[in-house]
Amino acid sequence: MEDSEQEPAPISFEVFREQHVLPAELEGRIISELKKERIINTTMNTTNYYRIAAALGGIIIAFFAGMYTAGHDGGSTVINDARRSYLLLLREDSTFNGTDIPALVKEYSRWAEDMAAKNQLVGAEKLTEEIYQFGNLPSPGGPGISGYFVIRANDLAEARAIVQSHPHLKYNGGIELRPIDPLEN
Amino acid sequence: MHQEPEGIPDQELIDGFLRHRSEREFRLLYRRYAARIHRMALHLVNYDGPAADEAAQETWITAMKKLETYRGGSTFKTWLTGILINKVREHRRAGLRRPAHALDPELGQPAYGYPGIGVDLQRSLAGLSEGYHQVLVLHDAEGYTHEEIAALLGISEGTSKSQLFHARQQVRKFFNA
Repeated sequence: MEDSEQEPAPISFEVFREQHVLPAELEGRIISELKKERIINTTMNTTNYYRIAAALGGIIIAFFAGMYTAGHDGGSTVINDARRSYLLLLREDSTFNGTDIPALVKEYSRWAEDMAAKNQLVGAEKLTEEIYQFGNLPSPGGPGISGYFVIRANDLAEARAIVQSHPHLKYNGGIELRPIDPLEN
Repeated sequence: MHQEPEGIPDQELIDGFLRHRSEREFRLLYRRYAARIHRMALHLVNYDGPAADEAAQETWITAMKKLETYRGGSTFKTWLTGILINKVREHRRAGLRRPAHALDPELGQPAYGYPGIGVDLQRSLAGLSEGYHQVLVLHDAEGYTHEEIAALLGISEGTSKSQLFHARQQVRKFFNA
């Protein structure tokens, strides 16, 4: 057997590699085909999706900042009354169909204000888009969690009703409800 | 995402795309391998720009359709290249494009020019049989190992080495003539 690995290649493709230019229009053409064949979701383009995710996060942050100025005990999940705390994780992916951002801002703010007026909001913050996963994850959350709320409710039924009232669901967003363990004794 | 695409493993991008089917996740995968696939397409269609664009486009569309079947047995790069090679073969069978080895080096001028590929170099490659040509560009131009080439072309590693030896010898002969 000839040992081809030992021989120098007679042709250098270095210049070709350096001068090669990927046609810029190819990416758009492929994406358009993939959308036509429904291999890529077309419900919302990703730019809009990330704009909206950022806007939703902004609403949460703005509201949380407002709670501090109003003197609420925002940010703390340790509560003194008998009610339980629940974590609401807001998720959305490219199928989220709320596109009117100013209207969304109003609607989400109104929901948060109502919750605060009823003294049912403990805290809310925007999460960054970085995800660090550790260990064995049975169903990885992946990207798409834009923020969280911590609310107070008398029981799970009330917490579920609160989640059902959140406008995020109307636009095909998702909310994960997680009761917070009070760690009593 | 703020993370650089380079930092995310292929499998994570693939799983993300399969979960969300989003344009953004496709773009991350595409941008990682698009240049390599397009370059490889150019080699395989004798530097015919429009034919390479078409082969690359079909490769990506087929790959995304079949993505669920990718099991990670080979690298994603090799898997994509396998699809590309099949696309080029399909085109040849259908007579859509002139195969590189069918160009007569005696014609003097190749049908297509491409930046960075001189006329002589293109002629020397056009004179190779399809098998020699594929092994030579996969190995010498794109850096695939004989093990990868064997898997891609359905030949043994020994055949890959032997074909590379003969392909190089033929190219040398062309330049020394």
